[in-house]
Amino acid sequence: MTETLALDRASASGTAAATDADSAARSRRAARGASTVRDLVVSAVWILVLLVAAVAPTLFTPVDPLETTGPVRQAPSFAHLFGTDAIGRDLFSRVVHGAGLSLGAAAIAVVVGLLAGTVIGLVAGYRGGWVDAVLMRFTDVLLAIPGLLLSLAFVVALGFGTVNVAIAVGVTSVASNARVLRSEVLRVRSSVYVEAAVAGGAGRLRVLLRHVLPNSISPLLALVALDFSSAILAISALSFLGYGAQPPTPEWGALVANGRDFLATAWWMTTIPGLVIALTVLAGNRISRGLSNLGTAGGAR
Amino acid sequence: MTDEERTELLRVDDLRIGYRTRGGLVEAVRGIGCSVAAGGRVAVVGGSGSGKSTTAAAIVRLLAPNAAVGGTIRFDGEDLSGLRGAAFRSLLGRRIGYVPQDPTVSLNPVKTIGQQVAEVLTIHKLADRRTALLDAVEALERAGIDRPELRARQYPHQLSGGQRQRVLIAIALAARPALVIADEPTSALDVTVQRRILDQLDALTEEVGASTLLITHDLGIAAERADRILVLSEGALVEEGTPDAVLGDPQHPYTRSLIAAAPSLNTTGGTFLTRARERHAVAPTDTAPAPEALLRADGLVKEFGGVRAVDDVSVAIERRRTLALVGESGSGKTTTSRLILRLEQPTAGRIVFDGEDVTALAGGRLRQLRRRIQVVYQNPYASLNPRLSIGDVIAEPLRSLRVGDRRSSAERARVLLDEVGLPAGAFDRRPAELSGGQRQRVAIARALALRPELIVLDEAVSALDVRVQAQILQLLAELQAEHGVAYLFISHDLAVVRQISDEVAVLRAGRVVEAGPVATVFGDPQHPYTRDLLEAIPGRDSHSRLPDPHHSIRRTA
Repeated sequence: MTETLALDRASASGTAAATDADSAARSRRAARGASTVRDLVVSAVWILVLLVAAVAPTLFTPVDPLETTGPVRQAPSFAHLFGTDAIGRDLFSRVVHGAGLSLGAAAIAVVVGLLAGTVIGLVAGYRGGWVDAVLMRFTDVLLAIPGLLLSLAFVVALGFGTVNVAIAVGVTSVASNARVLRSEVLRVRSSVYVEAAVAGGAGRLRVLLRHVLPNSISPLLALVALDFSSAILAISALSFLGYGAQPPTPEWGALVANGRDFLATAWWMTTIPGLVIALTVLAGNRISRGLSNLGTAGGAR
Repeated sequence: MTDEERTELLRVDDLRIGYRTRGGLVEAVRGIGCSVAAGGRVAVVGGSGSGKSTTAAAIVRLLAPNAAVGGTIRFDGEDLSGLRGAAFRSLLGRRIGYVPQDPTVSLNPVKTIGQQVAEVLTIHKLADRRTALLDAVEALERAGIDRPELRARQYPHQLSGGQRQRVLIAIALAARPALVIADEPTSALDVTVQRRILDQLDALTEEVGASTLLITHDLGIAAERADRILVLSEGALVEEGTPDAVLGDPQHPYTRSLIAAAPSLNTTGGTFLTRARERHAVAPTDTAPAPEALLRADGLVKEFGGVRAVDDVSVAIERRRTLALVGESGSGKTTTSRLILRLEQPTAGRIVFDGEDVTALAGGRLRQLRRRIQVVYQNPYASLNPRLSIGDVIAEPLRSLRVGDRRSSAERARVLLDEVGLPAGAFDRRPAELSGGQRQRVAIARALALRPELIVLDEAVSALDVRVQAQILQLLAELQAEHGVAYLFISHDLAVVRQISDEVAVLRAGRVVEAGPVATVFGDPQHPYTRDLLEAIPGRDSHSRLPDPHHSIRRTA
């Protein structure tokens, strides 16, 4: 289980780069094929539903996720759509209420990874020289440690809790984000319009923020959706291991963990939250691909 | 007539090419008909977007997949549209050779030169694997490459642009084809290299008895190298005839405008510069050299890793006047301009601007200097930030140096748009929505925004069509007469330099070999290198008078 959940950031970004090459060819087909558009719409709708659940869970269910509302370990039925857990709480309500925590934590992780990665990549790519060397060796160290292990180390240092888990997961994406941005910055830095800005009297910060950053950030933004889904996965993994949300707070990873003792008798307790996680990750990946196709199509123009 | 038909090698009838886009079918070529006789040399001339390259690409089937082709193309009596797959490929490279436009991207970077030439021979089974490399060396030698055995083992990045173009010619002619289609084979090269390569191409096609279809934007080249000229405009054939007829007595207004726009060494009737000054009634005393130069560079030296790119260059630019730096690529003219712009730090020497030594300025004071020296780059497709609107691009220097507030800088940008002849509607558009000439106008407007005293024009018109080039040159001359800005004009094109400059400095291998007033240097060149440069200008004579009859004599001989 942990093996599948342990998502190595380096390999994730590696496959992203590999599929990037196909994506040019794929985008041509995508223009014709309506099925890819349909996938994208379904994914977007799923994420939208989750966002609504995160903001206003009571729209979906009036049931309190912390109250015992029925018999224990009851299979899915009309009364309890996803069944009930070991102490008779409504699993549907717990999944819905867990959306806010899971998505919020994933958002924090993405923002942490994006901000730190952007700063490191921008500075390393633009300054070059020893600054670049130091920052890139630092990211090499981050990349050398398996993602989940790195997150665990950070959680232990920061303390348990959802926000700390989110920060720890965010740290694992810093290195690959920084590398992606750095390579783009290197390309843009030597472009004529950047030199034209310098010759026009722009200061270093202005050149960086107005000319270099906007022209180098788009591949990183396409990765954000991918980051988002891998963050959900990693956070769930850490919660599953018990470092994240503490009971009785509903969190998707924790829900899966709670059900694992009853896998033989109450399959729904692990399977349904697990399916929700899987669907969310799939939707995120699909949207990421759609965005990067959009990026290459825009770049070609 | 029947005699002519019999020797006809290539015949194109009613060729129509459109590109299927989201906005519908965009027509690139609208019914072109032409023919190439066996042993004939046909030049296709036109501006960008005239469909000349599309026509060439249609013959060798290198069009983009969204192209729709109509009409017939017959090669040696055979309808090419009937050929599929292997049947057509057996023709390509074997009977029809193709020389692509850009030598920097047209060779495979991970294969040796020899392998790439040999590939044509092995594909068409003209040689087996053992003999192919030997034949490739021979083909390279015929294309005029020095030390062909060595070059055959090298990779494309180890060769200069001119050598790479020769390799492409060697590949096209390796199989001794009957027809060679050359798509702007020398546009990216210096004039002297261009002349040598075109000479080589001529000699080689003559040797193998091939016909040529030469695509070019340069009427001078067409007049010198072809015995028939086709003039294309907006996808249609507007004029066809011998060079003497087309250049001497052009019938179509487009051909006439093309001839008129070609920059000329002939200055009867004045240059862009003198005409603009007359219009603005700039008194000759205003343009006479002032006692103190605006910018004086003394003994500039720039070394890159021990190689001297600029070697003891001294120039002076007067206020309100234009100094041109000319020379081939690698002569150090762009590096000199970058030193003067203070984008590079000189290894030795000093730069004095308006009486102040600016060689070592840094930080805020350097940025204040940028207010007074601005630059326009060669490639308008690369020099504008694609994310900014045109208005923002033009106002950017003002905002960078905090001149005025947001409102006033936008206002200034609108005024500048009008001054460089762009519609007010361009203000909110992106650079990608404008044509090359329009973008160069934007770059000029940006350079003018701070009201600088000196503008460095680094090959600013080299990437443009002759007609657009003429418009931009006129604009530059007008702006100088109006605002009194001085220009440092970097160019490899001497005819353009003749039209726009007061003084000229000729650079070679980082050194100034000759300098002085443009009329003196061009009228009575002292240095052999200057003479060589002047002689290499294609169609030097044909712009001022009819093409020299000895060209056609030489060809028929």
